[in-house]
Amino acid sequence: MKNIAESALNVRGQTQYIDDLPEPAGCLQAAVRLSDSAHGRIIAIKTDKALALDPSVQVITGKDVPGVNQIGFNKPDEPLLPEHEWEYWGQPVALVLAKNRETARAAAKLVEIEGEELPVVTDPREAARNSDFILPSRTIQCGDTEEAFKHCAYVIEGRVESGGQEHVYLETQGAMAEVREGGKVFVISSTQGPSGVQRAIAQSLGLPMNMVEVEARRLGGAFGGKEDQAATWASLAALGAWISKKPVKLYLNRHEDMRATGKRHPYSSDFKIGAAQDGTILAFEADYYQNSGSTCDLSPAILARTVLHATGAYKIPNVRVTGYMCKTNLPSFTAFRGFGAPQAFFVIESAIDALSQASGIPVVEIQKKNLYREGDSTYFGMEMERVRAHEAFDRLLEKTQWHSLQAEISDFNHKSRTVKKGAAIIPVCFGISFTKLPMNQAGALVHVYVDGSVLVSTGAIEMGQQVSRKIATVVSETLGVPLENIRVERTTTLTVANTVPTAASTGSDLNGMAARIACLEIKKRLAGKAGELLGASPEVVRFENGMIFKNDEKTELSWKDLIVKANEARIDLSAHGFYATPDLFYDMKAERGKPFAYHVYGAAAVVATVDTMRGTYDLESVSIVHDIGHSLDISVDRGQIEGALAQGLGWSLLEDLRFGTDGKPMSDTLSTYKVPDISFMPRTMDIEFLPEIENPATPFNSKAVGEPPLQYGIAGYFAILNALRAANPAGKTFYSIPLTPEKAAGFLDGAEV
Amino acid sequence: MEIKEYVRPASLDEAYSLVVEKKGFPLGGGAWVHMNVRSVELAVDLSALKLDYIVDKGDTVEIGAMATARQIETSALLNQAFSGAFARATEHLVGVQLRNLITIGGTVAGKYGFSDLLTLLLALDAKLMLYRDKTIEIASFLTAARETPFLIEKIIVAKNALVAFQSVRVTQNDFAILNAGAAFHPGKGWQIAVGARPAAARLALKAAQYLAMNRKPDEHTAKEAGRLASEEISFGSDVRGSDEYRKLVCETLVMRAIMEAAK
Repeated sequence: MKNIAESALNVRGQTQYIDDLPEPAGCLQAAVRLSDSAHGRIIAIKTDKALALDPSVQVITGKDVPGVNQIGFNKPDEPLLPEHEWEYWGQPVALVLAKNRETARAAAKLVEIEGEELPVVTDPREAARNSDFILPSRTIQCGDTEEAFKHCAYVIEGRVESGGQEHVYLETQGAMAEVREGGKVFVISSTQGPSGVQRAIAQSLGLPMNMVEVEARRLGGAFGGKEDQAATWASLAALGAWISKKPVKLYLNRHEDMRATGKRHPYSSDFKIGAAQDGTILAFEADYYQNSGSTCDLSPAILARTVLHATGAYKIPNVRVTGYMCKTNLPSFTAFRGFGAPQAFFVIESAIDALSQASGIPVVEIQKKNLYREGDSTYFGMEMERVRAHEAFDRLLEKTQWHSLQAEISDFNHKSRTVKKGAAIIPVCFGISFTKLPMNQAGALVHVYVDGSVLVSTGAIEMGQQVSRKIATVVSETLGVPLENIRVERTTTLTVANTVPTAASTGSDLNGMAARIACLEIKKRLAGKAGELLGASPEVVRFENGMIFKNDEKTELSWKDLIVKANEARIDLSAHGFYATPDLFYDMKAERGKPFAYHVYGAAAVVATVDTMRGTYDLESVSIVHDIGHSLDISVDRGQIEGALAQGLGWSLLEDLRFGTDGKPMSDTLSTYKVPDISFMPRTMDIEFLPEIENPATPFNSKAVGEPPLQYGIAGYFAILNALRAANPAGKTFYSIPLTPEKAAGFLDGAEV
Repeated sequence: MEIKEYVRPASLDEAYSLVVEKKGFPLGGGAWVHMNVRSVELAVDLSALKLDYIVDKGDTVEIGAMATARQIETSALLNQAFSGAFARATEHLVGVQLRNLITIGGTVAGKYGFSDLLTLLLALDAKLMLYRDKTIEIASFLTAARETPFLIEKIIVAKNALVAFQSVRVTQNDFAILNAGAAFHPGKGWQIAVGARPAAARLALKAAQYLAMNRKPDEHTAKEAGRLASEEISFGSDVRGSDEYRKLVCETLVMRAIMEAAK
């Protein structure tokens, strides 16, 4: 039977997620007791009422953790279950087990947390004033900004706010755990990083990692939300199984998930930009106050991506940017597609908009004048290669007929009284690699079975992004075997150890390369055998579409026959491949180096109309020119761009993550937190790919696609801002996302309509 | 919702006995059953009562209490008689699957603040026929608290009104931040309703009084009526919008509803 594509199984409803799997006999269901205020000291956790509900109920607290009650690895500030203090509204304080989910949840509500309320801080600037930082600040600088500002024709300062963003993965956080023979712990986790989960479970249970097996079949979406934070729920399920000696399943419902888990970091930032008379940017400074939430989590790596994308797609000779990780009493903010870069892009584009407003130079002119060029170095000393910023930008100007479009918009706005139109462009230059350099590695295990079918295991987690399909394509092209003969298996810590999370857009790059290396090893062995059978040198043997070629001549020897012969000759048909991205280095003290394997370029233009009497808007169109290198699968890449655009537009315009000043989540249901739907999206979406280009760090010159297009959504904010300005040129500009209709109406207040 | 006893009566008499006399909990469309966490001793499913009709009665249209939002949205009779206003007031309800569940009777009985349909029915001065009880205007139903259980049989809407419905919302399938309905009733004048304030719909009486019997108000007059409505209606704040924003858009929604109805 042919291997059926993951997408086909999804469409048929045949894919299985954790909650679809048969439960082991005697499986208990778990629920969590979440804190119901944002900060407090634990005096006692009372379990009497919960235990009285049903004989099956068990309550587990921090003191029951047999190993180290700590799952924070970047900084030990994250107890699995707190014993002394809770630090945000919705923090899991106790784990409750029962015979079924309803009983477990009912019992969890009956667990009483007796405590003393402590002061709550939700504003990152307040935390900064209190010097309450997760880790020390980080500054990158080059040139001399102070001196440069003295020579600028224009110097503008401003403030930028960007809100958080809820992941809204379809499958909520969950895990199923059981203790097997010999005390080995087996966990199926909805995680992007099984090895991280394995480490957290081992540490909390006091076990070596070889006693813990973690499997991730596939995820119903993640977007970064299950990169680090899946560890909590898997560790709790494992803890429950360890203590109860029964299998345990823990699944959060939507409300619990939205309360208890981290989201995209809100940022509050200050900028100062200086430019010459002609719009050449001479100096840029920024201070980013990252709202890190209650624990460290991935905040340092996310802040790193912010400060490494501070100038967006632009070459600026004098730069000083500083990032602060501000500790607040909110859920620990975490990875989200873009990983700190969107916040940086919004700041630099806001600064350019402010510069345009002050100088009268059109934004597009400033953008074009300052784009990176081949041979430029970044402000952190990375030499830029194969730069395509101008290529993408110029093609976008051409395809949108930008200058004619501007004239049409002007004419429209002149004639239309209550509906105004605006357009904006954003260029993107996005660095690919984990900002934490040791993470840029991957392993793969490839087996060829005697019938010629191929099985591939890697650390890449399938979460709807079709990474399995891309890896299968790499294997297929490398081995010269049809795609239907390739099966990419689920990830488990048994087959590939010490995997990095599938994140940072690198899933296909790293794991695809590791799989390719393993395949090349197998292919080398097979070429020797094929040469022997064909009476030819191994160097002239070629594999294509399931047949063996000698030079360009197709032989009678098929892949399947070759495999049989190789097996009879006792040739190893399995191989492990390992890939570490070459040439990466970074000196953290000097803040200089090459932290990225390469950059992805692109540009997007958004056209929008605003109903000036209501502040509501309509996204008319988006045009995108994107650098995908050699696409491993054009449909998958197009889907990734459309999806990233939707999330970028949602973050910029719609998704309004709110907390009260007391830290209470205000938008923790899908009725109070809205994400883009089909009617929200631009009516026309035109995506064009730049011609293929060499990209040696990846399989077949492909380029990462998951995160870079999210930045395109920021153009939606500026398109609407420009439409608002057409209605009210005197409106006070604010750089604050999401730009909700209410904020837009505020801008229009006093406009003549 | 946890239901201890479930009954599906086949007649209105039986349903009346279960709901009004035995104080059973009526299930309209059941759209909230999954979300609702209450415990119910006796649930009365009204789906077998054959109340899912929309019929032309000459001067009026009668809508059975169990007619679904989807039936209303797609009813040629309603949309021809009321210029598509019923479609406008139902098409944003979540998705087709839920619109196939949600009933007009359940919507009215719930007096939901977010309801689009209630605002339209209020502008249309709809009448509620309560089984074995009196027929009452929807305006008084919405404002008066009822102490005793009741069973809605049907909603009656006069066909001669010129009506329009407007709303503003963050996404198309979200609840409205604010909605408004305006209807001109020959011989009676204007009836203007504003809902999702976020509390339930209320009539803007001063705005209607200002318009009086002016069948075709100009833009300036409609705008002034909108301003009056925004002054007399009270607004609250929630995660969808502040009271200030609601007040701001009220003026526009009412003005546009009037202008559209007057066309």
